Amino acid sequence: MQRNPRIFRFGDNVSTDVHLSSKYRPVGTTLEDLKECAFSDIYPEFSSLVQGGDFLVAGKNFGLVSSRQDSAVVLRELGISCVLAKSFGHMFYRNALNSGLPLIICDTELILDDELLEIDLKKGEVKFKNEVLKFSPYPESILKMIKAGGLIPFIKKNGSYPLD
Amino acid sequence: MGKTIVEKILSNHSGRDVKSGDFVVSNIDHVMAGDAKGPKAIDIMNQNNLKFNLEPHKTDLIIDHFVPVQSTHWANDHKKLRDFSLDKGINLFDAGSGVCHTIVTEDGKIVPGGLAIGGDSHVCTYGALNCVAVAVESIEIASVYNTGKLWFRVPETIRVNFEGKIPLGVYSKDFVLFLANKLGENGANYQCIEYTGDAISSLSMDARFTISNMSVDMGAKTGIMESDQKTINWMNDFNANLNSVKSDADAKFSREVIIDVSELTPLLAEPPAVHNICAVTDSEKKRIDQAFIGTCTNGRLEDLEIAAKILKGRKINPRVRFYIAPSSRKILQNAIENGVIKTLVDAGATILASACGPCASMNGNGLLGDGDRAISSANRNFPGRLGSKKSEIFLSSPATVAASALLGEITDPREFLS
Repeated sequence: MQRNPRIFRFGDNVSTDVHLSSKYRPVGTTLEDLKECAFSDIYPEFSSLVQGGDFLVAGKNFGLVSSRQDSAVVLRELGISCVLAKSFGHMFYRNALNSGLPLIICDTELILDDELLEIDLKKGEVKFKNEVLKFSPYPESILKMIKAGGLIPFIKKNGSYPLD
Repeated sequence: MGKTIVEKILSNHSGRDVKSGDFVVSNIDHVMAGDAKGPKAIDIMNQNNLKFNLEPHKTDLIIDHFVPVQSTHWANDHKKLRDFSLDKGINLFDAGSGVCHTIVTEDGKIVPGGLAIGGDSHVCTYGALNCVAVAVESIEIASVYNTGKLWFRVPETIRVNFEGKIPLGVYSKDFVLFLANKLGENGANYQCIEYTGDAISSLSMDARFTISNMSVDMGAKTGIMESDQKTINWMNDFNANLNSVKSDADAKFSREVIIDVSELTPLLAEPPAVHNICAVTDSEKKRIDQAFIGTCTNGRLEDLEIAAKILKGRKINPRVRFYIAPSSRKILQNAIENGVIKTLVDAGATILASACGPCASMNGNGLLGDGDRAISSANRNFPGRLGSKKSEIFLSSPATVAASALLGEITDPREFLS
């Protein structure tokens, strides 16, 4: 049953090894298998509780360590609409935007677990109750890339990519 | 306002005047695709009908992580790389050529002032050649094969000044381990680290690559050094177009750090993390079961020579498995010619293929069992990186690895160097 989008809360320094703990996973593992093991070491119920439109709200350095495209793709495939954190691991940051998963850098301590978030990527605003958190908005081309579903769909559609 | 090296290089490659925090689309000079990310990039191109439009000399394919290959899955992936190489006219460095970052920098394709990407975390190694190099994923490799360009967010820069005279037994690995501890876990996240100072100038190119290599292990997006006469000498073999780039005097750095290397002693990164540093003397006498010299961090000729100097005429502890993987075939050949390989083998070392070997051991080479303790010249020591989660990996300079292999316990190399 579809409920209102909810927030899943994570702390500081959640590495991509924790996103998908089976790092050296057997050959032939499918995306469906990977979805089930998202955060399984630290939050075993996560993959069964998450629904389309939900948010992840984390501390600093979310997704640090390894260059693993899968860890971003899995979150997008689980329907996560956006990840908000104080900062991101640099490879996860690229992987997420390239997979069409928007990330927001802001002071996530101000967001309570039961908030209903409303996000405007273009204006750079996170709204909840009476608060508005500002973040540095993405340029148009990056927004188009996110909207297209990531880097590959974007260049397929546009041939190349000029930057505004 | 002046600019940093990385701001200048990304400006030069995008035709725009950019500063940290800006998004740019830049032309890419070189793409490295290895056997870990390359086969998937080829799949992505095929699945999406993306044409290969890059000039073939701007990319190299490399087989190094799974060498000698130990499963048919990866053997088939290797075949995919070989077929793609033939089909597109791209150079392929096949199994045994060496570790990706070592052979690409030896090959003259990475030039000062350049912008490169590569499908491996440690591509930042190229920074010692004044090249901005960024680690990317398979989809980014596929996109650059199609468009020749890639988007970046211009990073801020931390400038690190290494000053002073280098003491006996202290090497560039000790510099970078000390820095990892000083910056803290991911202390350089999403930033560029610029390494400068008279202690950097005094290092050989081999030793400089060790420092730029580990930038990523402090969370940095890339690391960079100015070029000097040693860089020019390195590049002279290739008739390369030198366009070395320096930061302006009034460039804005997010942080400036000064380290006096004359006060350093041989260091260890203890498990479970690279920034978890102690002096070798604080961990001495801990039993070790395996020792490894190799990798894109510390498997170059100078590293093997330092180990040979310590081990000449001596025998390692017979309880220790001592593996050495020269980081490229060229290094292996040079080390055969100058007698270093004979010295190491006589001392009890086992020479492995010029490849990644027991570093991440995605291929299953040289794994550790429960309770095993290894000392390694590699760059990472997370629990379970090399097999059992109940094993331990200590990181150090090749000198400390060699001295420890000799006694079968963690050992200060200085007693064998005076």
